[in-house]
Amino acid sequence: MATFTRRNAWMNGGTFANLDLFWYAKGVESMQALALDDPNSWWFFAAIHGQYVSLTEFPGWGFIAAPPQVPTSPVPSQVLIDQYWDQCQHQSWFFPPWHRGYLYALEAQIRTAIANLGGPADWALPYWNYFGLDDQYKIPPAFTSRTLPDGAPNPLFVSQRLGPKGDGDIYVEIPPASEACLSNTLFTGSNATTAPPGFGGPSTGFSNNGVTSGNLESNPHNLVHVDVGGFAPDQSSWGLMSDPGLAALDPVFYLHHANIDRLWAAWNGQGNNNPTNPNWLGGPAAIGQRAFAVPMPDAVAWVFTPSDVNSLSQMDYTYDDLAISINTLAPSALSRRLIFLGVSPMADVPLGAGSANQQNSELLGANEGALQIRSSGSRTTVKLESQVRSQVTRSLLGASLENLPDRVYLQVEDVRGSIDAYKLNVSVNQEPVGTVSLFGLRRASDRDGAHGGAGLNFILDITDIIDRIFMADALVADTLDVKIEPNHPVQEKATITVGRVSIYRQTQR
Amino acid sequence: MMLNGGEHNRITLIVLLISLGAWLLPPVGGTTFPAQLANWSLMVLAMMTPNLIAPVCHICARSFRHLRAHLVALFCLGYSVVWIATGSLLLSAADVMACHQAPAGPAIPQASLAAGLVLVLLWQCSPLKQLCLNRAHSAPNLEAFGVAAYTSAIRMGLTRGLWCTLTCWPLMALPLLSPHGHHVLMAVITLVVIGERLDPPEPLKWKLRIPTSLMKWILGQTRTWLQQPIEGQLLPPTVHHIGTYRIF
Repeated sequence: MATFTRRNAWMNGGTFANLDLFWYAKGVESMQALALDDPNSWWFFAAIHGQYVSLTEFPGWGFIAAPPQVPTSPVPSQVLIDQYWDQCQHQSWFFPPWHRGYLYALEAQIRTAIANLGGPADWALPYWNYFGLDDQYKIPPAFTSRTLPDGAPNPLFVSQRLGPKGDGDIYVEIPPASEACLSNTLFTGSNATTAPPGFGGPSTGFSNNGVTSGNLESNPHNLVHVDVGGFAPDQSSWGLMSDPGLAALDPVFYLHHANIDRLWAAWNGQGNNNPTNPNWLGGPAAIGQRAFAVPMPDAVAWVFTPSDVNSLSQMDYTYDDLAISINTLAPSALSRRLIFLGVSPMADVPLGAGSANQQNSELLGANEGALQIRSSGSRTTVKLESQVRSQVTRSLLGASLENLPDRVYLQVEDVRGSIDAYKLNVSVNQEPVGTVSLFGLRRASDRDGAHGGAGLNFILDITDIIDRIFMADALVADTLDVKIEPNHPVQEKATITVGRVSIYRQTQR
Repeated sequence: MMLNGGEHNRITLIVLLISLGAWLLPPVGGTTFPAQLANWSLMVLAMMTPNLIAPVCHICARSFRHLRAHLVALFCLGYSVVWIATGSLLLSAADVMACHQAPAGPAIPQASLAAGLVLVLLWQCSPLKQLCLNRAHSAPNLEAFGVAAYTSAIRMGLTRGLWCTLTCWPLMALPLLSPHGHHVLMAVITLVVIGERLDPPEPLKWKLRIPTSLMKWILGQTRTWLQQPIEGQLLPPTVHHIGTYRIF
């Protein structure tokens, strides 16, 4: 039986009448009163996720507009920095478990602070379910009030929280943010219901930043970050939530991640399994890399692995609501697809048909040269290779339950730039195929960063579009038209480049 | 998109077999420059090919299946050209120092080896070394069609070769300076070079750079392999005082 229950932040209208939020504010205030070099402080915890403490211009922490007044000293010892800072796991299968452990430690810190103030001993971190009914797509009002009920400054208020239009109106744009990833059935890998690299992310080592986000991370996680953080209209700065090196300074960060953690638990609740690979269960330490470590109250470190946080049943908390709003038991996507392709309707196509590891990906087409994203959007022509296109056509012609047709993915490769606060809307032949968030772009583009400036990759499922083209004209086209449009103007210093736009077929045998 | 596990394993196996083959081949006899260059090439093949698994996978993942073999061959050609050119320079330099020919007076090789060791140590600690290591991790955009695909594969080979050479040349020069124990020295340097590549890129600074990733990886995997599957553990989790680590 769980000791603590994380509840919806929008209870009691998302105001301080919701005591979970009131006490959260008091706990944040207590942690913010501690120094940067104190492992129990708000600032130290933010730096565990990612930090720009020493940068000499924005996004350096010394250049963040108050509130909060972010300290840049005293800097902790190198031993502590090496053990704790810059640890967040992104574009990795460690994204869900690392953030679960991180939230667990932060929650314990806040609960201790609340208890010291005479607050409830069973306080638990609230979550922001932006997919909830009515106004829940908006940030709970407790985060936008400048004062607490007693008139004191509200520690949940952040001045550099700018929203999707950059005007201070904070909400999540739905769509494109969605819970569609909950219909996935594979944590890592792909099948008929799971686009690569899988619900939880690709197999990696320690990945403070990486290349390709998992499906939960990509949407909703990355989109929500950039929506909430936003950008300044003059692009001189951007919202804290828009950048991994700033994000955990914003108190709403933890409510967003509590919701991501809840979605992971809900996904498991549908019968979907986490990896059993020892290299996932044992974390990066299993391959000799940096271990996950977070400070618990009273100056003790919790060194944890994904196996320690593998399911809520292992933890001492739960959520008040683990129901999911999308119907994953509706006729499977594969069944609908086979019917669309003219295969006789069948009673039951198993969800997740198609195995995870036997699939082969093969390049089907690509554009020529790198592409610079302009404010008005950029177009490119993806040329299809005739032999590979014929293989796709044959696969679609011969589709059956025994010979599952190819799936087709658009890959936007090697995206580089210096500002994360963008979303890119991608369309193929004028049909929208998805929106991606550039959360993590800055770090992924650093040539001396962990991935040598490889940039970000985005994989978008365009199987439906290819099916429609096939049914309309038997896929005779030599090219596809791809358009990539930013959600707000790109200024010169925010150059965004795409290395290549390509299309892949993936066999399903 | 990524290669599936089977494809990745096949590439790894082929690359490691090529490396193993080079280790087992006897050196070319004689002290002529062509013979020395042939032995240099064999040494590079043995020592450097394990570092090509990642770029070869990158090429295969991002190219048409029917072009993969050609593009990998062109990449290897570009990579080899840089190493052979470097070998020519180093061998010429070694000739000048007259320390590669055995038997030579003991004082010259020892002095050369000592100077080489100092140079290697300085280079290993320098920010320039880190810059080269970082750039050697880069995976460039590849064109997909026609001549552009071929030229981008050659360019990738040349670029990768250049950064690898700049990263490793002092280490690779050591066996040329050493009068004895070439194979042992080569084996040690190979492990160092592989270990360095397993470390992620880092900011540039002076640092005593000891590549421990390979050893940690082997130890971590051994421990994981020896362990029973990890069952769920109940909270409260094990806690350790700040500053202590659970080793692996």
